[in-house]
Amino acid sequence: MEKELLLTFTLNDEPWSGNVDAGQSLLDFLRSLHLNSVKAGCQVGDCGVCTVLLDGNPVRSCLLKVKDIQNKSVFTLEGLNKNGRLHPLQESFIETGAIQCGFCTPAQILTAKAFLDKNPKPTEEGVRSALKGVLCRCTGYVRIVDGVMRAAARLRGEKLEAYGPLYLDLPENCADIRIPDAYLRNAGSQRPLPPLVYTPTSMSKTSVVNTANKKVDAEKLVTGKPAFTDDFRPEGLLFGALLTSNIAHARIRSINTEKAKALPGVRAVLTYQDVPRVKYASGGQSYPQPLPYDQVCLDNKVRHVGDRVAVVAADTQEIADKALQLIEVDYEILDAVVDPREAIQEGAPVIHDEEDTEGIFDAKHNIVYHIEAENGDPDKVFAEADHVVSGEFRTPKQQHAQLEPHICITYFDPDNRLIVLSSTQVPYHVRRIISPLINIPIKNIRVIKPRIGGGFGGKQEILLEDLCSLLTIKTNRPVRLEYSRRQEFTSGRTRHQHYIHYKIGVKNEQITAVELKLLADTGAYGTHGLTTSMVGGFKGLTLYNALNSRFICDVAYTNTPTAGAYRGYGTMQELFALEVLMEEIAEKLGVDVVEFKRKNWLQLGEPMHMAKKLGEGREGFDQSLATSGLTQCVDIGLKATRYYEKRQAYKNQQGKIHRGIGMSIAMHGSGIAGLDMASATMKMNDDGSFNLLIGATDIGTGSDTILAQIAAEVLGITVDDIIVYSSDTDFTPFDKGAYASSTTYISGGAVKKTAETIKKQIQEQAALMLQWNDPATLILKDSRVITPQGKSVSLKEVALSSLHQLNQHQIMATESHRSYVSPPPTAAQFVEVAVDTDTGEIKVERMLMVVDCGRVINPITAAGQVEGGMAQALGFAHCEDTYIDEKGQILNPRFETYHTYLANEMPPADVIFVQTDEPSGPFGAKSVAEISIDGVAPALVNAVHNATGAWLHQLPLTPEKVWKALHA
Amino acid sequence: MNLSIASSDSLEAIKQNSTCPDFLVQVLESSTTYQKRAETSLLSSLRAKTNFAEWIAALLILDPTVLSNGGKTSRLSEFIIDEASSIQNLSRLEITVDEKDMLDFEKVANTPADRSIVSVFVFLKFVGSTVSQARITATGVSKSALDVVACSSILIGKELTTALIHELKTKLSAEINPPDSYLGTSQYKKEMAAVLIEKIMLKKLNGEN
Repeated sequence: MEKELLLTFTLNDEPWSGNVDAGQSLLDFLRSLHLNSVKAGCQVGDCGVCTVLLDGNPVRSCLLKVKDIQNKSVFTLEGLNKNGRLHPLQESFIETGAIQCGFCTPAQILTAKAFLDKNPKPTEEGVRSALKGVLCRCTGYVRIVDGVMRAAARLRGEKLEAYGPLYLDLPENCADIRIPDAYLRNAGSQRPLPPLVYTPTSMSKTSVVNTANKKVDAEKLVTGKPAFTDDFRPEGLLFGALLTSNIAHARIRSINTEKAKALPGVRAVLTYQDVPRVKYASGGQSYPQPLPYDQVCLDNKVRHVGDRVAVVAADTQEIADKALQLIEVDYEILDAVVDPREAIQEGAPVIHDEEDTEGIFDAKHNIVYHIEAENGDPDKVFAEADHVVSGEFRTPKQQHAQLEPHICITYFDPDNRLIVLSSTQVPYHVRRIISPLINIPIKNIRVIKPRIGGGFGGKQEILLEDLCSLLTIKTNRPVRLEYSRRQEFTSGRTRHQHYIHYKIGVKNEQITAVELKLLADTGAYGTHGLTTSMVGGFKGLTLYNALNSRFICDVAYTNTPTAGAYRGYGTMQELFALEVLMEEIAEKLGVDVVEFKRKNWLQLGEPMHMAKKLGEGREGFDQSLATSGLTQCVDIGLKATRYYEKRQAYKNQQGKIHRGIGMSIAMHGSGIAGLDMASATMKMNDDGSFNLLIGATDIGTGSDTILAQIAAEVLGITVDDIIVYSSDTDFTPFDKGAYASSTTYISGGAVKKTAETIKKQIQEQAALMLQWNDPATLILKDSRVITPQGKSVSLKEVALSSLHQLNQHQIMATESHRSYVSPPPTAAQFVEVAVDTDTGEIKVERMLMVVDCGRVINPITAAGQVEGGMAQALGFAHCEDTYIDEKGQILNPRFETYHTYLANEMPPADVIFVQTDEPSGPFGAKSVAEISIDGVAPALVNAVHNATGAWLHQLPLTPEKVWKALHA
Repeated sequence: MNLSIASSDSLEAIKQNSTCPDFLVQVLESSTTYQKRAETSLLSSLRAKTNFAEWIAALLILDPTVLSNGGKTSRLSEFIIDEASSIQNLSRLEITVDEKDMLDFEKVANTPADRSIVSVFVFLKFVGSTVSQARITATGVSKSALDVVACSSILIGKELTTALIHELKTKLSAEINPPDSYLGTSQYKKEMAAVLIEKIMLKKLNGEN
């Protein structure tokens, strides 16, 4: 304790007084009072999610000390709800879909409150400026800004129209499509627009599905109730801390932990000498994970700055952190290699020279995987082509930058079973993978996933659960272990950096052959290196589906932080290169790029030539395209942006600011064909409500909500009558987890099947009650079961009857689902820019994505996925990269230096859906989470080319790169 | 317009002050967040020279009068470079802005709201069409805001012309030696400093600011 202080202040309008540690941070102090709305995102004042109000002004509680609030007034989100009613800001955030993961929501609301208290009639620009101090990685700020503007109107007492998507019929002829004026953005308005949903008149109607149902967890998140891992702290909790390497490549000669162990309050120190050497791979994937298993919990070698060295558990976080400083590590420093192009050369330092790792393709050359796949005869067809065009591209090592750090709490329950509370996307994989590492059988491990403060693929890894468990085993105490924000950058996962070479052969404007050569940088460990590369190869060769295709790929180890799963998963890198090169080819041929693409893109019913050869880490399955709205997506986008008119206008621009417009198309997948499996359980309660138990992992996407909508649609009820409980390995059935755009399609399929089985049971019970002899003809509607003649019983009566009276049994079911196809959602992306030709700066003025994701289960949550995806993709394309020096040190390991787009600079990110009816999907749904990230980068590069004539092949498009291209 | 700021005033309070010049409001808006402004006093901002480089660069071209606790007065430019001065002694800043004065800034950044790679701030006072006073500062070219005195001096007593602007660009490039960083190479930063000063001056020449 720095110094004890008698603190007197006002907390949420109530006086508070007591003795405290004057040096404690305000953040820690408020959390110690169980004010869980105050979140810890970075602890260094960069992210703003710890914002509270101090005398009415927003301040970052992580930077203030307790002594700073003496005699002042502190207000947290909990103070908004004292009368039991939601504040207009909270109501509006729920309505507009401003809450995705909800981790930044309390800070956004408090900042907005402070601003609106002083500015009751704000401009949108003012709101954006006020909010720029609180990062959001999920939403692209679109619905947050909308929510604040709506709340301002509500606070002024204005009457508000109902909030929701705009539904329009989709005419058969694209020429007849009408675009509402607002979506043309003719007047340059920046105002957030609700999603526009076009529906073919031939599609069947639904009543719960395809509506903007509010998120089932919205109220919990908007009021800051305990929901996230760190909000649950068991009695006797110890605090863990992880010592990571500050050297990129070294052997550990010795570690001296004596001083650390001697520090009062330290309960355990573990190094490689203390834990069994069990090989594993940290990627959370289905059994069996692809080899190599190139990791152990703690090793005697470090392979990147940020690699694990030792782990400590102590009575307080301060003691644990101090103990780390007392651990003495004697390193034998080895040469490091940080560039994958150098890593695979003869004589480069060998990163995995250990003898007990099996399955590395060529360890001496740091090549972990080598992949080759071919269809047809590309060489022959290249030789016959009218044109052969090639290009080299590079994509950045993008950070997930989710606002909740990786965090885990472990403890033994009274039955001596290990409970693992973790912010993970893959609870079942966590349980299976850590079991041999900690030597506890699967049956004695229970993994619980609370709400997650963003994942984006970064939490599809086992990063802390094994170490935290080992500390609990060692101490027999609950332990909490969390990455610092710096460790998120150095020890977490990133997007794979890709060096891409495309060669495309064209004959008579038809793409006849494509060769894709890829060098992927997996960093220090393999994890997702094989699967991301195969997915990238498959998608990068299937969008235009040339009969003659070749994929050659090396995945290289480097002494840099490990790459892993990241939304877009290989696809977005390859589609960037492909869609830019397509524009270059069209320009070379003198043809319209849209028409050129139209002639070549994958058509309905067409077999995907590489589907079997490039599965995900294994042989795939033959697939063809069953539904596609791509033609309509492109046509609507062309109209909504006045693409051709602008392309014409932007020729021969004068002055220093040049405008441009670019487009791209994209195609993704919905789950992993033949591999991903999900299941769901439902049971009926006495009052006719249902528990829906799902292993599917809602990482902020709203999947709990849309799965409930699917069940409600089947059962003729509202979502209010479904209680969703997700992701607890003891109580919910298996689900592979949240990745590969699989939740709506695969988990949704499982929920639909389960609900249909329940429906059948209800029909049978109701038939007995109604003395009706054909149960299948009974209709479930409005929470009743109705005969064709109109006689009915309520679901509550059915429940009571089945539980207590007639043919007594529990109405319940569990069903599983998998699919041998992975139907691609399709999309057209448009980006408009202004380029300062003097400086190379790019200002993005508008993004529009027109998406076919099958039937849209919830247009507001789906739009949120697309908006957030576009925002992350814009970062990838424009400003985000991990800069690493030759010694392997990251130069920008914090949010202050790793810039993600802020509220006041986000361009309009408009979303239009074109619904299709995918026969294999639940109610016709495909996926939406990842397609949203695939198109921005190429559309941006193509827009910059339209503006300036320069081609840019290396992302991100920093001003210097653009400036150099313009002055080359 | 006169603005009197106490050392304990928060940057947000300064921004909300009705006499705060638009120029300073814009600088605060573009280089800080609501939270940062609410938490940070004038005194703290002057201590954090790297974190508040643009704010300090903006203040330096205004070169306000510093009232010290002991009653001594000085100019901010002297106060900041005077090793003997303790920033702790700062009591108030008195800023005077004539509406006819030219105050402007430009920056280059990866995105509109990202930290600037290079920024340039200019103050010009005219007698007739002749520059009577000039101050130019820059950020991104050294650890904190750089007062480019040599550039300011070549403007004094002259009329703005394209030739003078060209001379100024050349001079500014020669005066600075920015380090390479992940944000940009030294060469790019030098080029950009010149581009930005030209932008500001051409706006003035063309009557746009």
